[in-house]
Amino acid sequence: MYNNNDYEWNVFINCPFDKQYEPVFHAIIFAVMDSGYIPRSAQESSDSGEVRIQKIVKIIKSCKFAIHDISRTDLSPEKKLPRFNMPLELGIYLGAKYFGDKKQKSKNCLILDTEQFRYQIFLSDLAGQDIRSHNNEPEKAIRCVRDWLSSLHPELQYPGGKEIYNRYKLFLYDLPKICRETKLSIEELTFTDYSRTIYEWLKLNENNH
Amino acid sequence: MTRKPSRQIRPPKGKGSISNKVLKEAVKKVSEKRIDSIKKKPKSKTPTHKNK
Repeated sequence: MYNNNDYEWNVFINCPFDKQYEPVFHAIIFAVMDSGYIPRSAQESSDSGEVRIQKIVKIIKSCKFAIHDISRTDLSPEKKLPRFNMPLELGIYLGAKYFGDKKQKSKNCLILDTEQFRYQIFLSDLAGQDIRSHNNEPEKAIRCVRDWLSSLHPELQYPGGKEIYNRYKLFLYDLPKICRETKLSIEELTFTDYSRTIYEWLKLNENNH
Repeated sequence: MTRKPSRQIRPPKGKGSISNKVLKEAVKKVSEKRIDSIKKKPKSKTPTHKNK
């Protein structure tokens, strides 16, 4: 079951989890939180007893909003095959939106790629969806996410993309020192640790940039 | 014209591996240290422009 109150603020982040993508992923998490939303990811639960796809379905069900990054289309160097997890999870999300109840039908998502019209080559059925490009740049990803999220609750005042990015740079400056204090290395931070650190940091620094 | 209410920062899901107390104290310590170091920086000696 999902918490009714959180559904309106939960944002499912469907993206690659590799090292190369990490700067964009971390910037997206920060932008979601600084815009007043709750980031959700398949990485948040370490319950190994649960089948992964069930866990993902449960999270998707609890999120009104989602960010799907379909930029990772490269073939893996060893296997010479692409990763299909992101398009699969995008499909589950769209399925919930089209076949779900009234609440699920209210779902709204942002689709990101490295270039705006590249999807026409490998995922042409997405035509008609709003797809934004981040060019693998954290600053651009923050702007895309902030602009989209601010349109979902227009009754609220949001910080600008540049302001969020400046705050994010300040957070990155503090993060290694915070990790030293907590005796964890940055590499060891789980999705939940990272989100909680952003939350505590924003509570103290949301007016700094 | 009335100003829109500001967005509110919301706590994330899950407990994580760091205790709340330790994390809060670490963030506070690091943030305060940074703010203090900015305050202590000597002011620039470049003269300000005056209206002629």
